[in-house]
Amino acid sequence: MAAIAEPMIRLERISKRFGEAPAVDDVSIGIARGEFFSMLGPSGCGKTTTLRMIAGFEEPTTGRVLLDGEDVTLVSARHRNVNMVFQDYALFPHMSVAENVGFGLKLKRVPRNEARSRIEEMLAVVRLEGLGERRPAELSGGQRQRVALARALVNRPAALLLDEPLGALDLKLRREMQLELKRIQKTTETTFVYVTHDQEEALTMSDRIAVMDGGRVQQLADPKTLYERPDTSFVADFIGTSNALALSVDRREGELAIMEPGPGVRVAVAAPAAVGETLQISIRPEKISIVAGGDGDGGDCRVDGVAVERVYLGSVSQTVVELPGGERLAVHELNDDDVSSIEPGDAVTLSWPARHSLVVGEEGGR
Amino acid sequence: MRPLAHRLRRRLPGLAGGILVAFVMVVLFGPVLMLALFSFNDSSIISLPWEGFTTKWYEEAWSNGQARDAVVNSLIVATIVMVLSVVLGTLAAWGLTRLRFRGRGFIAGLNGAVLVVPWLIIGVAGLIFFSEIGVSLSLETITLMHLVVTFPLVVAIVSAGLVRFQRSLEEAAIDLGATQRQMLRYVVLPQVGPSIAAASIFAFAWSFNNFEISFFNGGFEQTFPVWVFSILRQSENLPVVNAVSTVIAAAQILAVFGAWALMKRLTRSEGEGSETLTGLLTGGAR
Repeated sequence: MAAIAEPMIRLERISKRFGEAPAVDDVSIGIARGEFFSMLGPSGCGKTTTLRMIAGFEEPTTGRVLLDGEDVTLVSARHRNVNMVFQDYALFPHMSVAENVGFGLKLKRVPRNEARSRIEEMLAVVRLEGLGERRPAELSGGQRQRVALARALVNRPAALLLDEPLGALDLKLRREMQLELKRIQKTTETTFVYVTHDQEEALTMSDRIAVMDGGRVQQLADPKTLYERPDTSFVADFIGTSNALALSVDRREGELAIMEPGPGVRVAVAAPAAVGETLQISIRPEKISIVAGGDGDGGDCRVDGVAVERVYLGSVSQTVVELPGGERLAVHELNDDDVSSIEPGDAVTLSWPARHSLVVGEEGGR
Repeated sequence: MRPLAHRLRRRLPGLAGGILVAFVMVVLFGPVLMLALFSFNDSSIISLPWEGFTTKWYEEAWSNGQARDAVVNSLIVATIVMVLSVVLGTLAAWGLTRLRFRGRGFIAGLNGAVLVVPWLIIGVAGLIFFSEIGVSLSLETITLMHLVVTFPLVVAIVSAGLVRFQRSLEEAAIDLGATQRQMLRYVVLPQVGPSIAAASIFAFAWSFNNFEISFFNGGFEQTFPVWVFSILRQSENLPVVNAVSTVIAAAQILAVFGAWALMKRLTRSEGEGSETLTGLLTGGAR
C-alpha cells in the first residue's frame, strides 16, 4: 500500500530501556493510513514494547511518537486516538457484550441513541449480531476475540493496535480469524498495527512487516520481499526454513561469484563479492531440485550429498541432505505424481539456479 | 447378577454421598437447631421432656438490661473493627499484591502467621501488653486486639480477590478513555467488591463472636460472648441465654444472606462467582 504524504503513525528513533537492557533500540518506522502493518519477531525482540509505546502505556527513553503528524510522545494512553486489542482480550467480565463494546462511548458521553446504533453496527461488522446481552464468560474464544475487536473499533480509532490477539486460539480458528481480521480491516478502513511471533500469520495478513530482533528492526518490507530477498540470516531464518551455507568465493564468472569448497560442490551467486570473501548463502527448500545418483541437470549450482532424513509433510516431502563438508540442506518436493522416491542413505544431487542463492550476510555474521 | 452389580456400583456413590451430606448437616446445624428449639420450651432445664411452648424466655431476655448492654457493646465493637480492618486491610492487600519492595514475601508470611496463632494466646498477650504499658482494660482495648486478628484475615481475603483480577483490565479501561477514578468505579470495584464484602462479613463476625480475646482484654463493660460465659454459671439463666443466642444466630444468618442478595444485585449475577453464597464468601471467585 502506497504511503500517503504523512504517515498515520511515525516512530522517530525511539528507544526504550528497562534498567540497563535496551528493550527497543533506535527504531524508526512510518505506518501509512489504512495499512495492515505487522511487527514480527521472537519473544523479547521489542515488538510488544514498541506497540505499547504507540498505545501510550510506555514512554520512550528517547525518540518521538507521532500520530497523524502530531507529537504524542508525552500524551497519556487515555488521550491518544488509538485503541488496543489485548493478548488476553481484557474483556470486563461483569459487563455484557454490548456494555463492553459501549464502554468507550459511555466514557466519551456519546448520546445513548447514537451509542446504541454504533454498538449494533460494530457487532454486525464482527458478526456477533444478537449476542449483545451475553456475558464474556458465555462466549467461545473466537467470539471473545471479536468482542475485543468491536470494543476497540467502535471508538473509530486512528489506528488499532493488536498484541498477539490470536495467540490463545487453536490453529483452525486462528486461520479463520486471520482472514476475518483482514476483512474487518478492509471494511472499517482502519490502520492496523499487529504484533506477532507467528511468521505465517504476519505473511497472510500484512501489507508490510517489520522483522525485529534484539530491539532493532532487521528488515522492513512487504511479505514477498521478506521471503524472497531476506537482508540478514536472521530474517531468512525467521521467515521460512533455515538453509544456510557459509562459503568463500573462489573465482568470478561475469556477474556470478563462484564457490567450490570441494569436489561435487559448486555454488554460484549473483553478488559483487571479491575472491576470498566469505558469504552466508541461504536457499529456500522449495527452490532446490533433487535427483538420485550423480546425474543432476546442469544448473548454476550443483551439490552432491547423501540423504539423511525424509519426512512426509502433507503437500510436500522434505529431504534433509548432508553435504561432503557436513552442512545440511533441506529440500522440499511437491507431492505430485513426479515426486521422487529417495530414501535415507541414497546419494543425491541438488541443483538450483543462481538467482535463488540469497546472500544473507558476509563474513559469517549479519 | 451382572446388571444388579452394575446398578449397585452406579448408585452406591450417590447414596453414600447423600448419607454423608445428611450426617454433616446434622453435625453442623443440629446443635444450633436444638438450642433454638429449647428456647421455646417452658422449663428452665435444657432437656426433654417437652414442657410446652412459651415465649417467656424471649420476654425475659428482652427486659434483661445486662443482655441488651452486652449485645450493644458487641455491635459497636464489631462495627468499628469491621470498618477499620476492611479499610486498612484492603490498602495493605493492594500494596502486597501490586507493589514490589524488599521484604514483601516476609510481610505476607508474617500476616498469614497471625491467622494461625490461637486467640487464647493473643488474648493473654494483649492482657500482658496492656498491663505492662499501664493501659486500663476497656472496650477500646478489646477493639484494638480484635483488629490484630481481623486485619490479617481481611488482607488474606482481599489479596485473593486482587490476585485473580486481570491487570490488563485496568489498561483496557484507560485505553478506552477512563480516568483513574472511572477505572476504579467501573472496572476495579465491581471485580474486587465481592471480596471486600466477604472480608467485611468475616471481620464483623469474628469480632462479634470472639470470646477469648474479649475475655482477657475487657474491662467493666462486657461483650456478648463474655456476658454469656459469666451468667452460664447459674443454670437458671440458661433458657435466657438460649433465647438471646437464637436471635443473634438468626440475625447473623439473615445478614449474610442479605449481603449476598445485595452483592448479587450490585454485580448483576455474573457467571459462576457470586451465584452461590460460598462464591461470595470466598470473594466472588470467577
